[in-house]
Amino acid sequence: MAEVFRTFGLRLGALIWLLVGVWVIGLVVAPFAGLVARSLVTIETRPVEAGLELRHIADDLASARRDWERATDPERRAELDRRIRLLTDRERWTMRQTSEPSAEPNLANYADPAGVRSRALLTTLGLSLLITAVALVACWPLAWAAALASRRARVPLLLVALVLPYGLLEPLRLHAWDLVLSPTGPDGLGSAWSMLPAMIHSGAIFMILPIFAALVRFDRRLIDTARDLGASHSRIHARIVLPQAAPGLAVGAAATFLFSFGSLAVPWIMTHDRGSDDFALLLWQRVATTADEGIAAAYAVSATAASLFAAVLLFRLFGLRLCDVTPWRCRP
Amino acid sequence: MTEPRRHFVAILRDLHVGVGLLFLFAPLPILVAAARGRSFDPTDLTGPGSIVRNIAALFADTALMHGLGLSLLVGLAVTAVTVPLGLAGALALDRLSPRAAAVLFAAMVAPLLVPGLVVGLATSIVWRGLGIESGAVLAILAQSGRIAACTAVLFLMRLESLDRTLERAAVDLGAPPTLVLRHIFAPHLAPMVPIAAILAFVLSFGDHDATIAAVGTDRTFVTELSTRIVAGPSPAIDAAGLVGAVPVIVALLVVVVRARTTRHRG
Repeated sequence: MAEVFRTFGLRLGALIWLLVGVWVIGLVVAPFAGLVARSLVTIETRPVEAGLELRHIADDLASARRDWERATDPERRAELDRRIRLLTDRERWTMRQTSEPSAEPNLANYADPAGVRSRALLTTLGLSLLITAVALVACWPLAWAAALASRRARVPLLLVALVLPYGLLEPLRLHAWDLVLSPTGPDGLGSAWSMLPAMIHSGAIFMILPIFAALVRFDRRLIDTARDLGASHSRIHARIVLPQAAPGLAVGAAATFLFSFGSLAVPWIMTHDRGSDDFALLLWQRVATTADEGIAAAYAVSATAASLFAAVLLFRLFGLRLCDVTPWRCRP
Repeated sequence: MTEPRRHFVAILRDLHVGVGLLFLFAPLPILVAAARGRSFDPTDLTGPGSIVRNIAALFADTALMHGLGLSLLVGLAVTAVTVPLGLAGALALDRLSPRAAAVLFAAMVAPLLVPGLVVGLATSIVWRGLGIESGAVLAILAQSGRIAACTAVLFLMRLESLDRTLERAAVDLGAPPTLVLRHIFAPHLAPMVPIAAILAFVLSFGDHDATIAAVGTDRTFVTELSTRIVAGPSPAIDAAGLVGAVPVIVALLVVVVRARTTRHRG
């Protein structure tokens, strides 16, 4: 800490620590602490009439949302948007007036009597692992070829070609997959399986870039030497290339996994909000349909815990620790 | 013995790369083909419309156009916030002991390891609780934590190539901190500032999950697009697909043509 002041002087050092403090406390610690705290508070509605009132508002909101989905005229949509905003405000106001948060923090928001949450969590974890495995196999040759080509060309053409498709906005990319993959066209039910290609398409960049970064400084002469000494192609790959790429593979796998586990856009667009087995989508449906944020917060906390836990496991699978990929290597 | 085998593996790899590129670029022709609208929908009896009509519908779409304005505003604000934050974060990390730096780094990248939807929800819960209701402000807060981590990593990578003997020499010769900063750190980091700014803006403009959970009904361009796509097909969305695809196609052509000319010259 003192080193910052010594290097940059008092005024600039203070500015640096101020900015870092605002960042870490305001944008990281406060939101997550608030999220966990909110997930431990349940809302209790006191009078029965208030419960009825809230029920009416919820019904009105649901019908306004249905109308909104059917409406195609932008002006009608804008009008409905205003109505939805008004109803949401009224719902929140009624909640605040007639209900009070539980006195004691409790775990009621985490209760999952029907097993909906745990089933979605397991399904999403499994699907994300599958997507990560497919992306790993599919992207490895691409990243390897791009790394080899980048050493020869001044402009890494292949790398540019691999990144360029992501210049298209994500919803439009997904819309394109939706157009060709949904069995009955965009009006029909999107199938859960149509999510797979779309998820691999969106997640590929998270796999390609880390592997590329790990291999771009690779010394090709190692391969030439090994070959001159009589090593077979597979042996060269296993003994020279893969160990070199391991940190990139681990970061790529973790990033692709975290993306596919946490992505809302893909399941939301590909199933047209009708999916129920994806955890992020389930969380979003919670956020969108209730003013009680407690349950949504509990979903969010479990999603965070599950995805971080799985990412750490993935790292272990590659024989790496998290510090291996930070700018400061692990101590031996 | 190894020669023909290696050749075979190389062909296989090139084939894989070819198929991979086709897969990655597949959405572009799909969107162009769908620009006239409704051709993929067998139940639609009105038949395909016209591209001109659809583009007119896009520009007449108040929600999307409002979203575009909001996205530009949020993007500029996030850029203005995250470039200084990333710079300060990188400089602080550079000066800390490895152990302290690892802790600070973990705190900085934590929002990247958590689903965007969770970041957006957490931001919305905490700041709405403190009375901030504006969708734009909440979107800026939700995006900034994640994007600042990205800009900080860019500046950190740049600092790795700084020649440390220069700094030591300057300090040994009695240079005050301001001079060291102005003549050694600033010139080295300066080329990264525009790159970080472009990255921050692009990431902000394209962000979906964190934004949609934070903005409420005052949606940005990308979140308005996704909401509309979920709701069903419309002429404005068909046109948006075309308008989004054309710049990428042009960029692809430019890259290919430039690569060919340099190869001919070289």
